[in-house]
Amino acid sequence: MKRFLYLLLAIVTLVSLAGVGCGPTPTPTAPPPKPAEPTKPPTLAPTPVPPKEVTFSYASIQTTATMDPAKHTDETTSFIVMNLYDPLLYPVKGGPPKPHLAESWTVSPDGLTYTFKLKKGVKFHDGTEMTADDVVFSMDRVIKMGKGFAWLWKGILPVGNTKALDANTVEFKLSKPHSPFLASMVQLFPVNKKLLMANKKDGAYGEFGDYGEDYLNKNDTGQGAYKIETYKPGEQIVFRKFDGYWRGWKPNQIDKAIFRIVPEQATSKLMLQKGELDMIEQWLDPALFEELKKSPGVVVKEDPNVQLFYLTLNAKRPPLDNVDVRRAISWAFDYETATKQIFLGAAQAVGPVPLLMPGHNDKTPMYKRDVAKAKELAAKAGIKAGTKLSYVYVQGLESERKIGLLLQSNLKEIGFDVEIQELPWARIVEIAAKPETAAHMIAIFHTAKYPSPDSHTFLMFHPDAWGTYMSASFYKNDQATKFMEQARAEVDVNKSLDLYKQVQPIFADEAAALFVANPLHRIAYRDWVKGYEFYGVMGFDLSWYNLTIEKK
Amino acid sequence: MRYRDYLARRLLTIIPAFIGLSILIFVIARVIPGDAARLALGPEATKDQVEQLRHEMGLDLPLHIQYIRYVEEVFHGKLGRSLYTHRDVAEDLAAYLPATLELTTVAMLLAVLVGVPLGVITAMRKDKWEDHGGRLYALSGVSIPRFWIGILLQLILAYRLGWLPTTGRFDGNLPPPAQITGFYLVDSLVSANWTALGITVRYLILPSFVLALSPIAQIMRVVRACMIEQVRKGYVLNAMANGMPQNLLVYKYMLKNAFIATLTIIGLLYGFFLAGAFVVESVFSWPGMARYGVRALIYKDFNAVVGVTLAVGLAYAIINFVIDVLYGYLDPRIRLGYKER
Repeated sequence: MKRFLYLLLAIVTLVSLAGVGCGPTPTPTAPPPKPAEPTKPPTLAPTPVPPKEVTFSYASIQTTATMDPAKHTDETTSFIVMNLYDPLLYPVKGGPPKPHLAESWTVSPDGLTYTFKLKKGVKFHDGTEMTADDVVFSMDRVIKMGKGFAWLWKGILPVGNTKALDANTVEFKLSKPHSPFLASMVQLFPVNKKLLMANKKDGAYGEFGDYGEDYLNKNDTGQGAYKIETYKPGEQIVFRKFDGYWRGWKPNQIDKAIFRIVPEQATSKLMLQKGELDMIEQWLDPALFEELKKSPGVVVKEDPNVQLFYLTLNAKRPPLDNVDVRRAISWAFDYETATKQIFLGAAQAVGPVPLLMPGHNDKTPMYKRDVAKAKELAAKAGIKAGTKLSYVYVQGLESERKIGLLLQSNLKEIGFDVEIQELPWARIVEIAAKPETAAHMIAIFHTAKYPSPDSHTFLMFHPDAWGTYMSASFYKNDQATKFMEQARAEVDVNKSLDLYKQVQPIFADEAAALFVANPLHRIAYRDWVKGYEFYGVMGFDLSWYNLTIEKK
Repeated sequence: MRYRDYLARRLLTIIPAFIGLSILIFVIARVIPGDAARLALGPEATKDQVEQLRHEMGLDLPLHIQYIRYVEEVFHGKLGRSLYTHRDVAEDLAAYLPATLELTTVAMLLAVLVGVPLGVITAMRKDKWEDHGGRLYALSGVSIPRFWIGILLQLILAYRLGWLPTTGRFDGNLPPPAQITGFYLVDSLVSANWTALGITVRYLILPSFVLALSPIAQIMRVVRACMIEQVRKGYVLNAMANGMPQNLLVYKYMLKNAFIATLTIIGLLYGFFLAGAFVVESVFSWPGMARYGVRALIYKDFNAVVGVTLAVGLAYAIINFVIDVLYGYLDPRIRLGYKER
């Protein structure tokens, strides 16, 4: 019985604790006479959601950062922008982009002037019609603000060189020929000039004030299929379909899309299995996708990603300045274990350009594990047992850690002692900027952001591009440099792609980097979600407009 | 010096401590390795772009000038722009801090309301089965990882049984209570929105319970130790000899004396969980400040790092001040002792 007494005591304590605090002035805490309870029936409840509305929820680990189409960089910010705004051109899986807001275009013979005809009757969310003026304004805005995808156009398209010829024609005058320019139009999302200028604040851009930056932190000014209903960065974003969308609407398309931030992978997996979510993002651990494959009602879609996983080989740092050493490493590495055991079903990389990228050269020579050959090359280069090499990978990335261990055991056989170092991403970005600070090898995932092989050649191996983590090989080959410059200058799309094709075998032959894999792109959704397609350009697969919900 | 003056002095010492903290974190946030501007602009940004942003953020200026500029901004109610959310850090904190404060406060209340009685019971029943059970709980409560227990409870209570929501702070399909203070409990009470209150409570149960598990254990152990110490005191023997009812003796007199050390622990724990709720916030997708702070650290979002640190520092200072006041209430010797000197 005494035990029960103690339990009772526990409850008593709640009351007596209040008394404990009362020291000097024991104010009587008699409750004031309460007026009769207001007899309000609890009908203040929010109005129920109207029936038949098609809703969809998607979850990601990543917090949202912005919905300004001059500032998006990563996948989350990209797909948010892509649902609110439409680009001039739209990516096509494995090919050059197709018309979208721009219905046709011409390129001058010197490759400097691009003229786009815009579609008529495209309406912004406030009902006004989009014109060439908005496109001009948007392009200058991106370049002047210098954030997001401004790097696509900085140094190629000076501010003021974009002109509206009439209400529906826009002209871009480049300062030098640049064939990836066309592909870069998938990243130009026109904003509503009038609306932004009406809401501008004081800022660094003269007559344009802050370029509407502050306004776009909380609002959208798009012409895309969806508009913002609620925006709570760090928690959730609700998209509502825009009735005046220029492509029109069909039944079963999504009326309301909820993007939730769920930072714990195990939790979002549970929510998908329970049906609380309709789709979860690609960044889940591969093992979790394997588990989801066994869940009833869940589809795990796998596509070869337009992404290269590679290790930079710092050619400015001995012994990697010797091409034979780089080749020896390439022959010694166990690609099969990497693709099958570590990436769980990736394809071995064929040179730097991913398999699904337009302009990929499938005749690029590949390395396979051949220890005898590797030993022979290492001996030829005079490598002594115990030669130290450094390998750096991103803190917390399990696959990169495993690659490091594999590399360590593979290279030990040919006399190298690999030191594995885990660094935060911020630090890697910093050390990769200079040959002296960059490690011998750095593990990198490089994803396509615009459909051109330029990103996987020029940005990795042209001396002008040195200083980013992608180019931490500091590799230079005069012939390759010349080819890449010619490819950028070539107006004819196919000829330009041919030049990019010619350059790929050079990088493979000289082992400019250790090309490991094109990992799989995986995404999981409920089986009632139809129409999902992977485009190979970051973010476009998450355009809600392409999806339909077909529940029984 | 009177006690009141002592408290006033304590209050004033917050100011230099705060300035010191701000200088320290301001410098640390800027000198830790990693190029913030390059990171914020994304992988492909050109050198020009990086320089442009560095200039915009004032990163090209000497550190002391940067600090002076920052202090100027603070006096205008701004905490500098976050590199990642592109908003002023003060705005970000206003959005995230209430969620964390609400969760932490509820969890700490829970911890006190459960931990203190448990501590008393285990002390009074020293070396009996209640005490052994308490010891076992204390050991597991402190050592079981919170993310594990969180996911386990989600699996059972939310996924299998469907009694409670899995994640979040409020039902995504319904409008949250009218924004008054940012604390959903307070807001829904003030606006008499009982549906919203019910939903808020349902969403609070799991995360606050998981967060409270380890403080319950810690508070329980401290209360137990202090209570056992009290048992040996003369006044207890005296009261017992005079036939004072045991409940009155235990809860009115002994607990009051034993509570001082517990208060200290509560103050420390509260501050700790304000910044340390990260794991629970992640598991339950709680849109709070701890998660925001960790993200800021990873991306080297220096203004956000400084902002979060100052917010936590301020909360610490205020809580500890409140606890100083409570000391005086609980122990007249502390309060009156100052008069004599």
